[in-house]
Amino acid sequence: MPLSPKERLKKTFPKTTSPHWHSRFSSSYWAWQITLGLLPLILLNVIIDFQDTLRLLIFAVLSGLMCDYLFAFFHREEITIDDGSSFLLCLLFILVIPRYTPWWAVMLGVFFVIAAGKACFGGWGQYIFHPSLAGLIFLATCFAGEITPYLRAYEYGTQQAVIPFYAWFFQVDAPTLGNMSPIAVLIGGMVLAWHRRIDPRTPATFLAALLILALLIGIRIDRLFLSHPIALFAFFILPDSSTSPITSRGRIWAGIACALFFLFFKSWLTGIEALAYSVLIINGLTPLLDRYARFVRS
Amino acid sequence: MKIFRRGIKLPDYKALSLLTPHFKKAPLPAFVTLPLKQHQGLPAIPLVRSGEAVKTGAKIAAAQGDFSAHIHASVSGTVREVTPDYIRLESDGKDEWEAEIVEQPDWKNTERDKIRQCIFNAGLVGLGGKGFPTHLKLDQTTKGACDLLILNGCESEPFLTADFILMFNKAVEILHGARFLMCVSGAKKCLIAIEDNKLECIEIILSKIRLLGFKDIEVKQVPARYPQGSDSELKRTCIPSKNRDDVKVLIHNVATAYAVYEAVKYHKPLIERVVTITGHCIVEPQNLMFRIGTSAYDAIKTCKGFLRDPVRVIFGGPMTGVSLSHLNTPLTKPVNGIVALAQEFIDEGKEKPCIRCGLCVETCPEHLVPETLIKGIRLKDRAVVRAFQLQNCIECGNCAFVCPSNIPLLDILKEGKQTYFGAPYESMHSEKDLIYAVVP
Repeated sequence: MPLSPKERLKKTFPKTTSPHWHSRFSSSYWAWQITLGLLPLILLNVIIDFQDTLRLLIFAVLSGLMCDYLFAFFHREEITIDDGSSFLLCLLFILVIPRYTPWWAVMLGVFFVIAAGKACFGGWGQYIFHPSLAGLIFLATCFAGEITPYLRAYEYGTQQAVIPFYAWFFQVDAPTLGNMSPIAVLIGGMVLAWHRRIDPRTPATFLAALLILALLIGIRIDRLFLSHPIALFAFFILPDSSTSPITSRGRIWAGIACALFFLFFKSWLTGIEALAYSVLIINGLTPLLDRYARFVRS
Repeated sequence: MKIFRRGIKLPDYKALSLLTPHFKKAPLPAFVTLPLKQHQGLPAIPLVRSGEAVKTGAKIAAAQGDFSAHIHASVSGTVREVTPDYIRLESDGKDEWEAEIVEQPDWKNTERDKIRQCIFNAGLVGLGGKGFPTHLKLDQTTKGACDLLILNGCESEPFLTADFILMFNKAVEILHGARFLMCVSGAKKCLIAIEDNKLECIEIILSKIRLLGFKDIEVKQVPARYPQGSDSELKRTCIPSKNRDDVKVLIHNVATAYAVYEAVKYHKPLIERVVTITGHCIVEPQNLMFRIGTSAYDAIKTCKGFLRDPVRVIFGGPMTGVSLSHLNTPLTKPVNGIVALAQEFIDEGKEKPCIRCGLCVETCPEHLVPETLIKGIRLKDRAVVRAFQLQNCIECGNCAFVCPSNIPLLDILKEGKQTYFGAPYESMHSEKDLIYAVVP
C-alpha cells in the first residue's frame, strides 16, 4: 500500500553537504566515450588489413586486461578492468606499434604498458608518462631489429610528385594502424572535442603551431601529415587527461611546445619516434607548465 | 563573445514552479517558530515571556547591538515557548496587526536617515540567501560613497523562481525600493541584473522604468550560467574591465529591494517573503508568500504534500542550499526555496581516484585549480594552498558537481578555508540553528 502524499511528510532524510546533486558523469563513461571516438579508425583498419588488425587487437586487449586483473588481484586492490582506461591504453598501444609486430612482442609490450606504465604508478590518473608511448619506446629499444626498421623506413610519397587525394582517407602501405587514415581520426577527434570530451585547446594549438612552423621551415605539409600519425597524437595521445597539464593556459603551451619539440626531433629521428619522444617530454614538463600557467590574482 | 566561458549551464527546472505565476499568500500556519538568529552576526534578545499575547508585526526580539536585526511576530496569538534559541508562537487565526498597515504621507520623498531607520526597525536582512543585515551593508558603503547599485535578479540556482515571481508581479515596487536603496547609499546609478532566461521580467521592468520615468535605473541582461548570482561574477559582467577596481559597488537582491519598499512606505516589518516550494516530488510546485517561521512541514502541506518519496529536502537551491534532516525546521528570513529532490538527481557513487580531467578547472568561475588545491589541503601543504589562492574560492560547488570521480571537492575546500584562513562569514543555516522541537 503506497503512502499518501501527506503521510510521506513524516519521514526523515539523511543530512548531506552541498552540492546536493551531481552531473552523473563518471570517469569510466568518459574513457569509453574516447574509445568510441577511435571507432572510425578501427573500422577502417579492419577493412584495409583484417588479419593484422584483428591479431593485434585480440592479443593486446586480452593480455592487457588479464595483466590489469592479475596486478590488482595480487596487490589486493580493487579490480578496475571495467573502467575503460586499460582498454583505451591497449587500443592506443596497437595503433602506434608497427602492424607486423610478432605476437610475443605485442604481449610483452602490453605487459609493460599496463604493469610498468600504469599500475606501478598507482593506476589511472597517477602515471606521469603516457603508458602506450612508454610501451612503444620499450619495444623499440629492446627489439631494435624487429620493430625499429618499420618505424623509420616510412615516408609517404617520396617517389610521387603529386600525392593522390585518396591518401588522406586510406593508406594501404602504412606501417602502423594509427597512420592508416588521418581523416577517420580527425572525424572521431573533432566530435569528441566538440562535445568537450577532449579539451580542444591542446589539439588546436598543436596543429596550428605545426602548420605555421612547417610553413616557415619549408617542409611539405601534406607529406608531414601523411607520414606521421599527427591527428592521432593531437587528439588522443597528447591531451590524455592524466599526463597533460590541467590548467587551460598550460594546455595551450603544451600544444605549442609539443609542435616545437616534434620538428626539432624530426631532423634526425624519422617517423613515429619523433612524435613519441616529444609527447613524453611534454609529459615530464607537465607539473612545471601547470605551476607557471596558473591564473594568479594579485 | 567568449568561447571558453567559465561556469556551467545547469539544467534549470524552473518551469516546474512557474505553471502558476501568481502572487498569492499562503494560509496562516497554526504554529510558527522564530529562531533568534536568522541573520549573520549576534542573535536577537527576546522581549516577550511565555504566555504573553502578541499581535502580528509586534517586535518580539530586539537586535543585540548594531550587527544584528530585530525579529517580529509573524502571526497574532500567544507566545508558547521562549528559549535562548527560538520563540514559538501559537496563532489565533485572526491575524490582528500591531500597527495598521497604512501608506505613510509623502513616502516618496523620505529622507536618507529616516529610510535607514525604517530598514533597521523592520529587521531587514539580505534575502538572497546569506542574510547579512541590510542596514549594516548600507552603512559600510555610505562611508566611502558608493557609485553603483546592482540589484541581483539573476537567480542562477536551478529550481528556484522566487525572484522571478517577485519581478514578474511587483516590478513597480522593486523599482521604488531600488530608489530608496540608492538614496541611502548615495549611488548615482542602478543596474538590475537579470539572466537571459527571464526575458519576461526584463520586458516588464523596462516598461515600468519607462512608465515611472526613472532615468538612473537600467536593466542589464546577463548570460544564464551558474554562478551568475555571486558577487564577484556580477561585478565582472556588469562593470567594464578597465574601471572595475575604481567603482564602488553595492549589491542587493531584488527581494530585499521589495522589502525595503514595504518597510519605507508602510513601515511594515519583515514578516513574510516569497518562497518557492518545488522539486519533482511535490504535488503542486508553486511560489507562495509564507510567514517567517512557518515549518517546512506546513509549507509543503500547503502544496498538497509529496507525490513520491524525496531523497533530499533542501532549503535553498541544490547547489548551495542546506539539506534538512526532518521537516519541522522553520523557514527563516534568508530561505528562498524548498526543493524536494527525487532519486534520479542524486549520484550515490563512492569516491574514485582523480583522473586529472580538468573539468573542475574549466568550470571554476574564479580561475582556481581545485585539483591541486585539494592535494595541498589533504597533504597539509600550506605553501601550495597559498600559492594557488584558496582564499578566492566562492564555494559555488561547480567543481564537486562536475567531478566524474565523485570527489567531495567542495567539502575539502571549505575545510581548507576553515583551517588556513578562518571562516569569512558564518554559515547561515548550521545544523545547530535549525533543529527545533517537533511540531505537535
